[in-house]
Amino acid sequence: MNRALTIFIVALLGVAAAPPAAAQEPVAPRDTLAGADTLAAADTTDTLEAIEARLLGELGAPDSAAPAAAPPAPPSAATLNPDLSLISDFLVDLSPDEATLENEERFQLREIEIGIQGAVDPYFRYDAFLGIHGDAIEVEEGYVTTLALPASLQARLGKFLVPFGKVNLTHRPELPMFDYPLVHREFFGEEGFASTGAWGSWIGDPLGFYQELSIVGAEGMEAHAHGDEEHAEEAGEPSQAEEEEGHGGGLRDDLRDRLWLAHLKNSIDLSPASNLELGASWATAIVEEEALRARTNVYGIDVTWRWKPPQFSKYRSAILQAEAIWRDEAGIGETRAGGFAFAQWQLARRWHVGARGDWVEPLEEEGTLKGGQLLVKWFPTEFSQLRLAYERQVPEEGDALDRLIFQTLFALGPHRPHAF
Amino acid sequence: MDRMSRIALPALALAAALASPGSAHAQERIQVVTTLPVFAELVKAVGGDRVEVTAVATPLQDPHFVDAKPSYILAAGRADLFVAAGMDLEVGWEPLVREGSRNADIQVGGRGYVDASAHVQKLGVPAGRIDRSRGDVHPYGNPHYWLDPLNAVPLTADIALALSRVDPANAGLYNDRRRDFLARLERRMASWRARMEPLRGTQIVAYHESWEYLARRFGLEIAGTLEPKPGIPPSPSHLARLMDRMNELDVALILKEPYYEGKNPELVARETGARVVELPNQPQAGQDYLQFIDALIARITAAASGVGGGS
Repeated sequence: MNRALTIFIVALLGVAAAPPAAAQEPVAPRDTLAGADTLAAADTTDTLEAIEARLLGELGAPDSAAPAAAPPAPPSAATLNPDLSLISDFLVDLSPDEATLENEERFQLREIEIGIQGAVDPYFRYDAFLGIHGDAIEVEEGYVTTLALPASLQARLGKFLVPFGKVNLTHRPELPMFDYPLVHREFFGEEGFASTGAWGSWIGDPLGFYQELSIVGAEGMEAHAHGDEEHAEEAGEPSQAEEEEGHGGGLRDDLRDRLWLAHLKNSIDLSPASNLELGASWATAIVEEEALRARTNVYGIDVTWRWKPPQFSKYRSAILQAEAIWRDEAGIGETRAGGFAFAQWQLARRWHVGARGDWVEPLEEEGTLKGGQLLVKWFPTEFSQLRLAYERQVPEEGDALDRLIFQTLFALGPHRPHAF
Repeated sequence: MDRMSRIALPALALAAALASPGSAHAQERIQVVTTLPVFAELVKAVGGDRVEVTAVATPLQDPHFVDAKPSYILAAGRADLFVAAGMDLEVGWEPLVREGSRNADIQVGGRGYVDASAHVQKLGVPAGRIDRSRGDVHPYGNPHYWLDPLNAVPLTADIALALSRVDPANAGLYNDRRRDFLARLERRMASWRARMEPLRGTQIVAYHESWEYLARRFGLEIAGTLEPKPGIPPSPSHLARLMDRMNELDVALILKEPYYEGKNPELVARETGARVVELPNQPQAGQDYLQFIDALIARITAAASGVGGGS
């Protein structure tokens, strides 16, 4: 018998040997198990120690000649190092006309995402995601999360993807399609809506199903997500005019002008195989662009239906998802809208097909930009993926854009699973 | 509720009130969440009516692939005790359920956290350096240890210890129930051995490396797996090699869990004359742990003697 096991069992017996005497008296519920066994158990007068010793003796002596366990050397993973992981996102542009990638080439190593994650101590965990694009390293996320707040509360501090809708919480390399929906790219940026600040949330089920309320206070929202970087000033920074006049700068004013965001998530199990998630989001911030400085409100709703039969979860699944977002530019007195609908079907263990329809009213153009994407994915394992996607974007005026993109995703390390 | 517990519960309540007059909550049932149904059954065997147990995975689900649904997170949030298989079996979802629950008591190292693998006898602990080129290798060893019925001894020891930690007033009850359970296990073990004796040395093939513990306990020899490497789906070339080996060794049984596809096992069965035995690796609804092992033995022995037991 294993020595640690012996010590453990002895310790257990020590605990069990000194229980409060009164508690032992009424142990009438002898058994709810099979009747024959009950009799047997009642018949034998052996003590727990005697039975245990006999069984443990057998445990150490298997019936088969098969080799026993290797001496349990501590595996290298069992150290205090944080989990280190990497995802490589590589694109090949096969579009019929000109190259459509961000670097305007045919090949692009769009990103190497490094994740460094782990528990800090019993009270906090830390998650950092660094995106390496070309020769630039960007902190995509870096935040501490509390583990021990009472009352189902949790706080997060740092830089993070904000909980506006559902899709925005997923990093680009882990999206089901090769990029964010047009509405996210137009309103929030190519790499999603991230900000630096504080996030408090509560979970509970006062209505009988899962609800999560998140409140975020953070630095601002970009004026023009995809516009000229120089014009896309962060919100909340006092304008030149204001600075000269000595306004702003006070804590109260600064807080008022920052990004404030609320999200309510509702998750309902419809059956063991299917689940419905409904969410509502609201974000508000003072957004500044050139001379204009005005409050912008963004509203969103999201709905996700998932189906996955428990017995065949490796082979079959489906997702239907849609979000609609309205961006209300108080300064110009205009409201722009956008949204998407997405469907994905798992054909077999290694094959998924997906489709997305997009529409958005661009901030700097008249009319509506429409788009559609079709995609086939092949997964050799859960750590590697090859995808072929066709996308068509149709602006209100001008020529349609056709894109044919081949994408590979490879993951190293114990990448933490993503929230359901 | 049966008559026995109707009498026993008030008596238990009285006893606990005497034992710890200061603790008003002592007789609320201990809330336990387990990742897998098998641990739920073992918790019930030790805890009896003192515990209310919920398992996250369903009996037919592959324990490697479970979604961390928000409803499980809520259940874990209310748990006094959280029992997981450990050994990285549920690495894809257990951390999300446990940490997402925001329940400090059930975090690793907390008083309500039980790593069920802590003291079991482990098989297949990989030697040397491992990486994913070897497939989905578990660095801590083969995590399907509950399929050796004798591993229920350390498993229930850890469970009894944890229950006594969160509910010290009833430590004696847990100890007594565990003794009864082990006495029954010992008796069943003798009958299982007798029934499996004719199969000693029988060559079998499994879909995945999940039957090592059962095979080693009862003297079955595993000639190979349909998966070329753990977690990697069968390939034609691997199956061809496997079938050659099966013909050579005269393999009679192919063990497969209900959550694996049936096409490849049936193909191999047709080509080699072996029989497919569908074996769940978790207790099914209404089965306790001993009945579950009983059912496994019954299916294997029935299939080996050619009277069905599978497809």
